[in-house]
Amino acid sequence: MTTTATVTEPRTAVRRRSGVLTRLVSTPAGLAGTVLVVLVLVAAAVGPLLAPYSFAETNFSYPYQQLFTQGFWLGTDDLGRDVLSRLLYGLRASLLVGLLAVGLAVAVGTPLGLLAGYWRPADMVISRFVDVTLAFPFLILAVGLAAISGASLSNAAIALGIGFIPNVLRVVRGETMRLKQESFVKAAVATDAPLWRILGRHILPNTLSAIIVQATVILPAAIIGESMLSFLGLGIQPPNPSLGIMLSDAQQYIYRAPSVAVLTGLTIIIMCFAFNLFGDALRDALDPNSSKGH
Amino acid sequence: MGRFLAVRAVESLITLLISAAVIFLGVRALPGDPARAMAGEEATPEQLAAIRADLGLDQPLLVQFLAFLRNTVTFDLGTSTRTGQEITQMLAAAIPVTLQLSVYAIIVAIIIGITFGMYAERRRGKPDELLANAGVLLGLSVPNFWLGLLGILILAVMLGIVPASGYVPFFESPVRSIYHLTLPALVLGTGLAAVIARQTRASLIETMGTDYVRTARATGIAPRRVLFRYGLRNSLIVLVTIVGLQLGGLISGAVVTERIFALPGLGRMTLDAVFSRDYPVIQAVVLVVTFSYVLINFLVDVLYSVVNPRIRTGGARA
Amino acid sequence: MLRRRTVVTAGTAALLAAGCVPRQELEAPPDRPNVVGTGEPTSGVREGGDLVMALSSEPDRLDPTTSSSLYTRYVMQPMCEKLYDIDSDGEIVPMLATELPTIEEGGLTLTFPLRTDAVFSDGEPFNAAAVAAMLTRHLTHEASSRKSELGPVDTVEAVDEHTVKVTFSAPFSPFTAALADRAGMILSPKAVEEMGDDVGNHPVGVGAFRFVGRVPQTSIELERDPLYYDADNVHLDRIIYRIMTDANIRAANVQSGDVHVADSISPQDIEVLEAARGVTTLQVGSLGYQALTINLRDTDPDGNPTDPPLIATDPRVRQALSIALDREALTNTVFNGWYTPAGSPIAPGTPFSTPESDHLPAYDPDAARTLLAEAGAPIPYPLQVKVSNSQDALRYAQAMQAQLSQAGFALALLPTEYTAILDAQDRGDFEAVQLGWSGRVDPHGNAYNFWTTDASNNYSGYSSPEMDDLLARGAEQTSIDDRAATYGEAVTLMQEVNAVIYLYRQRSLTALSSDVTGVATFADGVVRLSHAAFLDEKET
Repeated sequence: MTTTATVTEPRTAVRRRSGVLTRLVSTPAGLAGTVLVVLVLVAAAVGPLLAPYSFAETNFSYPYQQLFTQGFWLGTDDLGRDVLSRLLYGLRASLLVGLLAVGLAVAVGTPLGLLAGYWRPADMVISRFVDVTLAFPFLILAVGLAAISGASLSNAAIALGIGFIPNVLRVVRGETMRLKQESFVKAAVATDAPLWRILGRHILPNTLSAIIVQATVILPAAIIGESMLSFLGLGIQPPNPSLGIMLSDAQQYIYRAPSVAVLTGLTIIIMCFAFNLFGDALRDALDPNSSKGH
Repeated sequence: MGRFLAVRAVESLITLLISAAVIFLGVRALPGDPARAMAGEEATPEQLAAIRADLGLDQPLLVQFLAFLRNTVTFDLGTSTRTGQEITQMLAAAIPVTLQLSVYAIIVAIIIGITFGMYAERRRGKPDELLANAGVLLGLSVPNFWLGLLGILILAVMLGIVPASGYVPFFESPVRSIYHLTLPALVLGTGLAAVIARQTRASLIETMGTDYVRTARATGIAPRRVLFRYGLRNSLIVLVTIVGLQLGGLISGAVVTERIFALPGLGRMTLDAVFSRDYPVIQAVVLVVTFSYVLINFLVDVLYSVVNPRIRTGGARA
Repeated sequence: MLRRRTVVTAGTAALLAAGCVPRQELEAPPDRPNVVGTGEPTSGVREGGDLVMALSSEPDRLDPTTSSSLYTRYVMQPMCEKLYDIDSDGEIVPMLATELPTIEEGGLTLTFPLRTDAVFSDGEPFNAAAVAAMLTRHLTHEASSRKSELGPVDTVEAVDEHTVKVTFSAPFSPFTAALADRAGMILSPKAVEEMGDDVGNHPVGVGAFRFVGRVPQTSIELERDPLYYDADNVHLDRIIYRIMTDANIRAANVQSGDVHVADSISPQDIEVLEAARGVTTLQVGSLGYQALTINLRDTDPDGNPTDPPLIATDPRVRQALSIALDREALTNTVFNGWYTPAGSPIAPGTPFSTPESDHLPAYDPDAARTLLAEAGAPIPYPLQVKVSNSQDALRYAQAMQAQLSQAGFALALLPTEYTAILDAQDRGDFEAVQLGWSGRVDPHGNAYNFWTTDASNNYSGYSSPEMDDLLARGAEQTSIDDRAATYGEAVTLMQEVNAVIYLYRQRSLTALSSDVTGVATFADGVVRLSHAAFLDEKET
């Protein structure tokens, strides 16, 4: 599987990067994606300033307030906490989990991918690692981690990150294999440059755009993964909310106050949709030949 | 080609062996042992010691591992420490459920995915392309358990048009079986459908741009026929790969789906086993999952090299 | 159409004008009396039918000797009757025994007569020899979970065909209550002999129904037993238990009609179910409790001496913690008033409850701060609490965290998976841990092992001769009034030392579809289905 499944789309080694941003916002989808992502990032950055209450502030006398209630625009949850405030904080935590997972996947997947793509013997070993990771349901890993060191958002991020290593690794490996054949790499090899220099200086910079695209795909998947783990009780760190934790709380009282579950779900969808749209457009912008046809 | 398959077979075996070791050690790294889980809230130390000795947990790790490998190879998976039942029996009951759910979900995903993908390709450059693409991306952005919860709330409780839970074996009553599994399959299949749609579109665009399709078009064959005859056929190969690669995700999704719809499949079995530290069951379930993953992907490779020895798989979810 | 538009317009206008809907303040919960059953089916019941019950947790081995899952009792109820049962008031009543035991020699011997018309579902006669064999198995089986429940038993013998005599080395009053639980379930001796431990996969008892089969993690099926002594009052053909672990999924299934009965309904869903058409609910206060256990040990889990935190050494800090909790407000908000506050291990309304055992420590955050200051504790005083990661426990813990911050405590919550938390509790690897106890009919089972020196469930490490003496006396006294008074004294002491701080008591909430009758649930939480029936459709 992995020995044959490589991601290769025809690309030219030299790109006009300056054009990327222009191309990105020149399509309606790209523009919408960019605007949405900026909005999500802004909300995450200044959310705590916008939030009318603290995420942990309980009002025991006012649980389950409905939408548009005085003082609680989006209502309150089962402990009388303001849903709007918690959504703002939760969005931030979920984004953080996503970024951590992406960071881990990229940090581990990139060097391994470079090595696997460049040096055949390493490929043999690394491919087995990838096979095992792929064959091993990441959920089991998450459950295991939660049991060993307690359920927490950072453990959820680690489990998700490990689960996504193969995605990054495969992309980087494929790119490296392709770049290895390029003349500028061959030239560097001919000058007896050390391995780290060839990989770091010549190959890595040219794989960056592929990594970035991959990251925008992993991020929403990790955010959804976090919500799934929290649903199963594996990502909890009360009273700090993440969208997944809020959703798993809200599903407990979905019959009594469905609005909280619906709103939280919608926030997750909007957030993931933003990154998916952005990532899709970014891929097209980085590589105008890949899917826009001829 | 024979050599390629031999290499792949050896690689698969190595993967399985590593997985077995990882599972074995991982399970033992969990805090709280099965004796504790079995004895429950009212355990006494003597009782715990008796259970430990009974399960062989007082043996050295290596002895336990070798026993585990030997038993695995002979399909002697032992009994559940929780319910005392034969694990092979438990698997025999659980596997058909997950298999049926997954196959149904894959079929649903393929139908929805290809339809959407073809639609998106056909509308390329037109305003509603955006809409089709947005639909695909939306499919990737929805947490499937949220869809399941709302599905139950609206379709089962409020409208009462589908059952909220329950599993009827396919051979007992195919119609009722499919009726019960429709909502779960839709929920489980959404993500996969989006991946397939996206890939179908990309691969169609690629294929339709190749010289032979252009030639075919130029010779006056109807566009629709070109699409089905050349475009889709090539895309199908890609599809097989995606489904193979997405299997892991599908199984993780099945855990949640089975929990929501109270389906007695492998996912439920896994979760219950982990929470009760049922070592033999966790090992068996993870082995089954890994084994089927490795096997299916090996078969995909075989199929692949038969269908088209030259082709390279075009970026599955790149 | 016009009306809807008006409403919508008016609504929108109101929203824009006021910007909002006024707040709805949570009302104090109404008095909620127990509803223990649908009543006996009288006329108009339909003979036959398959009843499906959603069970919230998978039972373990269906063997009364080794079982440690509470849910095993649910499944065993229709197919394996006990020597005694409890009734709707929590009093012990005869079931397979015909009278309460005769106690002689100051509590050292105990004799009870048995039914003469009962037959096991494999056709074997139910007699004193079978009872003696089963009780002996409880006492001698190496993996028995029943041993400690039965106390210091010396001998069990069959005096005649239908009379059993048990002798003790010391008086042990909780014995009869144990026979109203799993220790009182009697399996066919022939089945035990033939199958050994495998009998847990094919239990054979005396009951309205008999075991048909079990699909792991999925379902357990029973069918009507024609040999049952009261077979005329059994109406269903079959009972199918289906395992559904999520509370809201169980609620959804009752509402959609996919199952007929569901146990352990969440307080979140019960009001919706009560209002739903075609669904009725049963509710009964439970014998168990939820509590916060404080680690008082001065050694770490490996036995090395440590420097214990202030809360372990100074009872004033624990006292402060206890009175900083507004138990009423917490249960009202977190559980919508469906659960009740608890201050002791003895459930109110049971034969052993007294004003002392029903006493709740008064909420006084100011006094709590003063106590903390007197003890020289830093404010906020940091406390790490391990909490089971179940939804109910987490919700309560978060509310508790918010409330305790008012009185100068800073709680850090560590959600821990159930098995891991049991393990941490055993090893003393915690500062404070919030866990529950499912509850026993006799108060001995709820107090003795938790509070006496080095007892098996004494997780706090508390030890005092006074408490040891009180709880030992409670087990030996024979009159209920004397025992109740002794336990009352013990509770007063518990509330002084606060090694275990009691929080709340759950209520067993059961939902069933309205066309089902003859279902009952008592303080032990077990949903009794033996005499359930579907109502005749013409009648409803």
